[in-house]
Amino acid sequence: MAVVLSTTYPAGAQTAVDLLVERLTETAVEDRAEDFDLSGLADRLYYYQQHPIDLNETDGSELKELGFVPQLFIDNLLDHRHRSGAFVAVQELQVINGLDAELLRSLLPFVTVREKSRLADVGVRELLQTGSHELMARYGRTIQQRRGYAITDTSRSRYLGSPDQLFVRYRYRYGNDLQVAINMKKDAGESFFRGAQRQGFDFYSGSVYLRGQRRFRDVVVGDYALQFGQGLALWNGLGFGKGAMVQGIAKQTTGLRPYTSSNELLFLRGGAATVALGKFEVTPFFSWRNLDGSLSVASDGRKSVSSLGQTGLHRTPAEVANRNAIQQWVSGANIWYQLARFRIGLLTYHTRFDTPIEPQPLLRNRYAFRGDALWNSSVYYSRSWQGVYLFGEAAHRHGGGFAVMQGLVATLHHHLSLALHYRNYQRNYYSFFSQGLAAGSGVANERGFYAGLVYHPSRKVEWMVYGDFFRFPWLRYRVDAPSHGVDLMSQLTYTWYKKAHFSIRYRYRLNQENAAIDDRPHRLVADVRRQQVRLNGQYQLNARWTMRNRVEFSHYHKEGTAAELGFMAYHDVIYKPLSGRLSGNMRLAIFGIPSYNARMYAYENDVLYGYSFPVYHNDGVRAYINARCRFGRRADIWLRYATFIYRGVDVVGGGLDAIAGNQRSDVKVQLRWRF
Amino acid sequence: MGQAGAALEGIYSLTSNPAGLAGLEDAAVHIGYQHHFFSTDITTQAALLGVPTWLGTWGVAARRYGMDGAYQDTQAGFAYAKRFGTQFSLGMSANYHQLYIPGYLSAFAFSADVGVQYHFDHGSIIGLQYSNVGNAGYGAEVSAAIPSFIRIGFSYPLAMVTLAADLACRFKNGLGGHLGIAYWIADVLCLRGGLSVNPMQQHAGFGVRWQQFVFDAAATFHPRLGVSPQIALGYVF
Repeated sequence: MAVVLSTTYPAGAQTAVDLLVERLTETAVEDRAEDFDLSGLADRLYYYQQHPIDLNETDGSELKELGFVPQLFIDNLLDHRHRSGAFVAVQELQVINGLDAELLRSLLPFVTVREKSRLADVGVRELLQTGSHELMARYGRTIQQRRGYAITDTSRSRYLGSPDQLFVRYRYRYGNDLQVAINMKKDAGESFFRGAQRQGFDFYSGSVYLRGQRRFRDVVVGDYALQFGQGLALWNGLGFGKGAMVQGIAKQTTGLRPYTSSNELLFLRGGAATVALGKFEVTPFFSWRNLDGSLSVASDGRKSVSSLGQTGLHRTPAEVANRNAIQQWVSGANIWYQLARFRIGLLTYHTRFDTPIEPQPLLRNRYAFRGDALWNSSVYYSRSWQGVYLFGEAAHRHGGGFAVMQGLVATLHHHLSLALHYRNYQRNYYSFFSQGLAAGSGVANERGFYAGLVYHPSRKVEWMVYGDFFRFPWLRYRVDAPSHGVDLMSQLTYTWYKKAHFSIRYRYRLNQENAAIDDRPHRLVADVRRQQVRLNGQYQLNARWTMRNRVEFSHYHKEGTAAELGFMAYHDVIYKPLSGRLSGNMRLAIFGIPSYNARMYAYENDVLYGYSFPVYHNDGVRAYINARCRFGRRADIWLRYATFIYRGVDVVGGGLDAIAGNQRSDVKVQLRWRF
Repeated sequence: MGQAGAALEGIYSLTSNPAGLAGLEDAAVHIGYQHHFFSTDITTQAALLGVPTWLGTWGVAARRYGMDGAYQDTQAGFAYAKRFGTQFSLGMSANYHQLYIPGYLSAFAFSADVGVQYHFDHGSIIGLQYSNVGNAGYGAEVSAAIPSFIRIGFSYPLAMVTLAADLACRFKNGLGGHLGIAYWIADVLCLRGGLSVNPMQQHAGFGVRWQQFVFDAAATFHPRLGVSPQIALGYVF
């Protein structure tokens, strides 16, 4: 038995994972909330970097978890192993079809070739001694006082807790086979061992995960995430979708995984298991959660909720009142069948609430979900054949509509790949856990076609282009008519292996929203055009120092209003010696962005697992500095200071978050102990 | 191919860059039909003939666009293209245009197109086309125009794949761009797709080659106006 428990990162490891996380998530984040939590993904990438995936052992599922390895390549890899016998070295990957230079570079830190270990052969004492424990605590705080903390009048909305943020996580792992995860979080403004949070932290999450034990492929007790098909019916956690990685439109069904992220919404709580029965895999699951919602009581005493909470924040009396206001039960099962390179899955599940959901009686909500129970079913498949990967899903809301999609990723030539994706989500389809490729806010009321192309004329150059055309047949939030849109993107990347990386990108987006004209009896929709030009560069000066630059322009124009042009430029310095106690990085950015409309997002380095994609708007300067200090092999400490200094403003932010002055600064301290 | 034809060769060069006609290896005849925006009665019918000779390649094209009994825009043209050496080809066409709106007007005009293509050794082509040289029209009192534009294109072969891109500079509607891809499967079936900007459109289609016959089908998708399907049947002598 050999268990490899490396306790140091390979050189440049953090930078490699950072680059991947940024590449995988950038467009997903741009279309979502600013504080989107990426720690689950980062967690997995760091884990597999420390405990590389054994190419001779994997059934492909660990490779899927990495999030960037196309299914077509995984199938080719398994085929190769089947035909040519066990891998002797990772370099053998190069003979497998579908591997381009970029994929090889990305994959190498996460794979290895070694001997096997089995949990069944291990005693409890050995489990505790050989397994790895990790305890991490993070403290953060905004230095300036926000308005919500200064209000003492109890009749007004205000923050009930302190501005301190606290996050504690514990991990226990035994190889890939057993994992225990606990997360505890208190957001800024939430009480701690007081008020509604008398039990301490506002958010607790935990799971025990067992893998590969005879018939039981995966077992999770506690918080878990399910990802099936292409996400039309059930997909917890992050979905990548459109972006610079064209093959990313094909989602990788990872099935059941423990939930280890600190996001308070995107998971299920209870128990689930995947049982292998010959070529079939069956995953029954059950979840029971308390969710946030604004309760209202009708004159006849009937209770209802108009919408479910989307933030997980419980800072003000209103947020506290909505906390855990509604109970949700989810139960169902997935059956999965695999025959060589063909896979098919069948999913059905039922969602029930103790209080009915009644959205506001608006025309745009005509097809929205209302009631206290929902039953969804879905069938999905994928098939790979030589250089072609086909995938599709058809999902149904019982008593409502359908959502269907069909996609294709094909290698037309050794240097050229094509991706196509057609979607048709009916307006009366709905699922609480869908995350399919969509230009709108969810899997409903949308039809679209996506086509993308990637060309690698050499190992150094990559050119990608995609076009996505879509229509929304029914009204949407702030769009009082059927509407349509376009999303085009092209990017040219030049990579000078291990030394430098340069890319130029253009993105054009057309959407429609209500025109800002009030003198008409009815609303008109206006075209909104957003254009982005981004130049990005990274170069390694030597084994210790890396520099990174970006210059970005954004142009916003809504019909009938003045156009807005914004720019942003930053310079990063990254210090990462091969050995040594200290490492760190810093950024200085300047930006001039007329308003929120022309806003930009930029990925920021943070303390480990603390990824952030803040939004830049108005005029000002952004700076941050992160430092990490290692104490032997067991302990690490991270420090971060980040600040926004705006020009020509007296107040930063709005509402209870408003800060007097022109500056907002945050500090973070994080400690990790591994034993 | 996303209407990116400035750097492509063959019989369809009669509808784009006439210099591409020089690449026609055998005489060919095509007839085509397009239904614009499906739910309307607007259609196009076209017939193309290309004959390679030792003097160069000759072509005849006829096209009718409009709505039965309401609007008819007819175009007939004569084209000539010649390859000079192995790398350079030149083409030109002279066209007659007639616009007829029953009970309202009948007008005609002449126009000329010119084009060149340069072939690189590895198979890629760069093409330049000037359609309606001098911006001829039906006259000031008729609001219909004959489009006048300069188009530069590039095509790149990659084994079974051909990539093509065009940039069009139009005198009326500014810049437009086209990107197309064609993929041959076993020399029988060809899948095509493309993207146009200004106006934004997607294109998809396929072609089947069976003995001397060629069958092509395609559709253009406009986000607001809908689908315009077209078919063409050809015979290669």
